[in-house]
This record gives sequence, structure tokens and C-alpha cells, in this order.
Amino acid sequence: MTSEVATAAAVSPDTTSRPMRSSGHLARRWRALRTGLAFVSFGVGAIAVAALVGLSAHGAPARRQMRAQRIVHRAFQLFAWWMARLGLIRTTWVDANRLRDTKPRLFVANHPTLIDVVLLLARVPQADCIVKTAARRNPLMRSIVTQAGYLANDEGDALVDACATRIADGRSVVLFPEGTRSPGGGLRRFQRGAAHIALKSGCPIVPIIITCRPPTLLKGQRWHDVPDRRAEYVLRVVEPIDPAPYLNAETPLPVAARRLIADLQALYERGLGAHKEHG
Amino acid sequence: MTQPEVSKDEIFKRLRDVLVDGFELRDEQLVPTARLVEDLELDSLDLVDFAVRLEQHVDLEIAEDELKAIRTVQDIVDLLYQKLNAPRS
Repeated sequence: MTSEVATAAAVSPDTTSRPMRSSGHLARRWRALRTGLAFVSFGVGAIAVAALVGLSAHGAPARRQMRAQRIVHRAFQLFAWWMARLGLIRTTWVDANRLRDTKPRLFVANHPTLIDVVLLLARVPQADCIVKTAARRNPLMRSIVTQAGYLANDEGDALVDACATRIADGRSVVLFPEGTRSPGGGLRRFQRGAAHIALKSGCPIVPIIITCRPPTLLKGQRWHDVPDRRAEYVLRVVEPIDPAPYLNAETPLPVAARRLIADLQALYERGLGAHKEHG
Repeated sequence: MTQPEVSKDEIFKRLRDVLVDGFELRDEQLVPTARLVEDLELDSLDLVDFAVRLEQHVDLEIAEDELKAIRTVQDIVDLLYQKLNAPRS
């Protein structure tokens, strides 16, 4: 897999001639059309996934959920391939071998764009996601989310317990500690849930730093508001963080959670800052 | 009328100890008007832990609805003052 990140030639608007501007305009329309096609494909795919998940919903809950997660994994692989085929994205994983651990892991990631979870789950065959309550309002999404055993993010302490139980059962969990998509190019303050889950379960945190250039599919951005070139995603898997050193008899749990999440946030700020410098 | 056994100042001092030790907050942050969630950045998990610590510290039980009604440091002082000085049955 390549590790280079395409850099766009800087074109000053002042020097852009009228014909070039019009060809750029056409290119953008063409890209918007392909983006629209990707959105439609996602909708159609969601119906197919819901149907497949529904058909495979038999047996013990854990087995049923694993089967549903496997279907979502395959569907997201297909969708990521399709977006790449449409020339909309290119994805580069760095140190992805760190994902290949059979032990349960708590995957955390920043959340710059709409499709981060697609790219993550396309790479990780089993992960219990924590999804926004809003995602459960759509009946199609609700059926997939329920069958796959994904967790809702509405109950703070109950969610921590639920995630720790999943980890104890040998399942990995993935969450976005910002709680929602990052602000353009930046990072929200991390919520402490990830730290509490790690401290309670003893499970290492595997941070994944996601960058997307040029920025696209941002929160509040309309689907047809597309960049002028293909979006280059880089997903960098960082050395896992063991929560054990944060816990000792003298440190109250809330303090340990604060320290762990502060270190995680600092790691992301450094990681995203370094990417900006070298990008 | 019986004399209150514990003053609000005393309660505030004890509360400050709980918040400083348990949540790594600084003394200067702990003014009576400080809001627990917005100013002191306690989240829902912290509030549960806080209730447990408070119960251990003052030997009182705090009901979930009482905890939910708390917004500021002063609210806790008032609640504890009321509970600590209520006639015990």
C-alpha cells in the first residue's frame, strides 16, 4: 500500500484564466455527480445489508451479532472500494498490523469526516460500535445497529459497564471520543468515556489518527459541496496505550480518567500537528 | 429552634476537599457559583463517583433525583446543609 499523500498544485485564483475556471467548474460538477452516486449506492447498500442481516438473524445473540458485524464489514469494504473506484477517495493505512491482535481492543479515532466509520469497519472485521442515538431513529439503520449489537451513546455509566462487559467477552469496541465529527481540521475536546472503559476493563486503547485532505464530508457540509480533487485519507495506527499505569491506590478513578484522556488528546494533537507540518 | 450543628462554611470546606482530591480541581475554581458540568467539567460518570465520595465523606445518602437537581457548588452546600441539620428520626 502506498504511503504518499498527493499534494495539490497551488493555483492562485488571480492567475487562473477563464477557460480553466470553467473546466474546473465542470470537473467539480462531475465530482459532485459521482459523490451523489456514492450516496445513492450507500442507501441501496443499506437496504441490502438490512435485508441480509435480517435473513441471518438466527441463533444465539452473540453469534447473530458477529454474523451481522461481518456483513457490515464486507459491505463497508465494498463501499470503500466503490468510493475509490469513483475517484472520490484514496485510503492509506499506516501500521495497520497493530489492528491485527486477537485480544479485544478499544479502538479510538478522531472523526474528521462522515465516512470514517466506514473505513474503520472495512478494516476491522469485528468491532462493537458506539453509535449516536440519532442513528437509531432511521428504521433501516436501527435494524442494522440492533442486529449487530452496536451500543447507543446515551447512557454514560451504563455504557461504560456495557463496553467493559463486551471487552470481557472478548469483543473489541470502537468509539470516537469527540462524540461527533471533528470541527474542520481540528479536534474537539475528548469525552472521558474511552478512558473510563479502558480503566474499567484493563483493555489497551489503540488510537487511530485519521486525516483527510482536502477536507470533505464535514459536519454541516452539504453532500454536493465537494472538493476540487480526490480526498486522500491517511489512517495511522499508533502504539496502544496500556491503562494499567494510570491506576494505583492513591489515584482516584476520575483523576486517572482525566490523566489518561489528557494524554490521549495530547497524542492526537501532536499527531495531527505533525501531519500538518509534513503534509 | 435548635442551633445548626454544621455551618455552610464548614460544609463548603469539606466539599472543596472532595472536589480537589477526587477530581484534580484547583482551589480557585471552587467558587460557590461554579457550575459542576459547564465550569468544573464533571461528566455524568464523575457525578456518580462524586455522589459516592460525598456519601462516604459526610455519611449521608444522596438520592438520584437530588443529584440531578444539583447545578452549582452552592446547590450542594445548600443540600448538605439541609440534610445535615435536619432533625434525625
